[in-house]
Amino acid sequence: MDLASLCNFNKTLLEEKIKAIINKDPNLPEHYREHLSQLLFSSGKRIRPIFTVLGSYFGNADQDQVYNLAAIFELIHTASLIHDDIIDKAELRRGKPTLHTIYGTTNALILGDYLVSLCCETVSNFEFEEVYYNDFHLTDLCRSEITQQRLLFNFDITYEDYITKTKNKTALLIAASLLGGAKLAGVDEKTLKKLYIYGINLGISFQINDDILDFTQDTTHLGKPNGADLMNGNITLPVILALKDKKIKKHIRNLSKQSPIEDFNYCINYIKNSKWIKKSHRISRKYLKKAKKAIKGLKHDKKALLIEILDMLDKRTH
Amino acid sequence: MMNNPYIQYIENYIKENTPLPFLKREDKYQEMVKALTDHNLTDYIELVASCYSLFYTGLDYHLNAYDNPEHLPYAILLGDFISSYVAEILYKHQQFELLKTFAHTTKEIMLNLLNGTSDDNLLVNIINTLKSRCNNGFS
Repeated sequence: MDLASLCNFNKTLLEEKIKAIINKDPNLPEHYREHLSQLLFSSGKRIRPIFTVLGSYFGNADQDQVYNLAAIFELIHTASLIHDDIIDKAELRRGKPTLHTIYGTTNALILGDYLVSLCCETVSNFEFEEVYYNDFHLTDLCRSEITQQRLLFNFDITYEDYITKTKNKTALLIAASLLGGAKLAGVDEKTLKKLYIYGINLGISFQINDDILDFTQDTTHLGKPNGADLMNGNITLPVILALKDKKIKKHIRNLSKQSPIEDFNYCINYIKNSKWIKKSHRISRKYLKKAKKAIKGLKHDKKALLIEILDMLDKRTH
Repeated sequence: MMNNPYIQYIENYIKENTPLPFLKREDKYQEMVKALTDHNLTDYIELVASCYSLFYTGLDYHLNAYDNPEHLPYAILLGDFISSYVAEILYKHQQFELLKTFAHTTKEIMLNLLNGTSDDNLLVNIINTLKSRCNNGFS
């Protein structure tokens, strides 16, 4: 069973809501709308919308409104993907040509900006300001991306730096999505706090797993070569841990933008088959335990669902 | 403009965290100061003129990103950072009507850019929003 089925998530309703938002603007040229639709309706994980809906289960909310908010979170995520693809020089996204390869850098950037403004306009139209802006700080996400940019190929990055970056880059958005749904449902402050801590810790674990999969998952599933993060200079947890390993640390520290692919592959293969992957898994699990601890005192029949999700993430293979 | 805390924050952030220069839009800042003064809306100068000016700073980073391939990632991320900062400070000041105006009008500006035109009603729409608020008895 996948996360969407476990949470009884209505994918069709989400897609209707997304369509309603992007179709309401008559001035958007059809070819742009078509390419945005391709990006929005290809096989994304829908992690953030699922957590918005999950949050709403802890109170009473109009599901129509919950899915409107969930659609906004998915759209803002998609806008960030358009810009990420330009930064990463990615040619494909979910098997389709990326927007900057079709329209050029500037138009793709503006299309991403259009999507962000459209999201903010929709937030205003639905009067979602308090549930959207209060916990969802895009500036934190951007700051974290700028820091990541500054620290590319910097092998002195600490475990603490990595966790802070991971929290701002991934976990805050997951926690904000969960809280958004819960706030719409009128959930009390005490429960909101528990859900927030749950979301942050789950999000950190989720990102650590993503960083492990970057090394271990087969390339067909991954859609990119193993170790792509390291090749881009992005230092993730398995690398930080491997830097303690006498056998490989010199090789890793010698890597730079100009290094030949063989040097990268040597380090990537070493890390992939090393104990540092297991150690990364243990750290990921530690955050899942923290997430579980956060909801210990929660009395709600949907608490079991939160625990099932943690178990599912622990076994995640893609 | 130099003493504006919001603009100073962004300028310092850019200086400390990126290799890019701050693309100051003094012209836009002064344009908004003049419009607010002309309409007796001077209470809003610090917040509104900075948001207005910063919007164009953020947009400039995106419009010029392609011309500076070495620092393209920074230009993209800074543009995103500044536009989200504008939304964030408007929210912190509970300026929901202005947030709506900014969102709607900046969306129209992006659409115009995508359609190859340069129509821009941001100043007019901001002034109209503030004037209609005053006419409704809110300060």
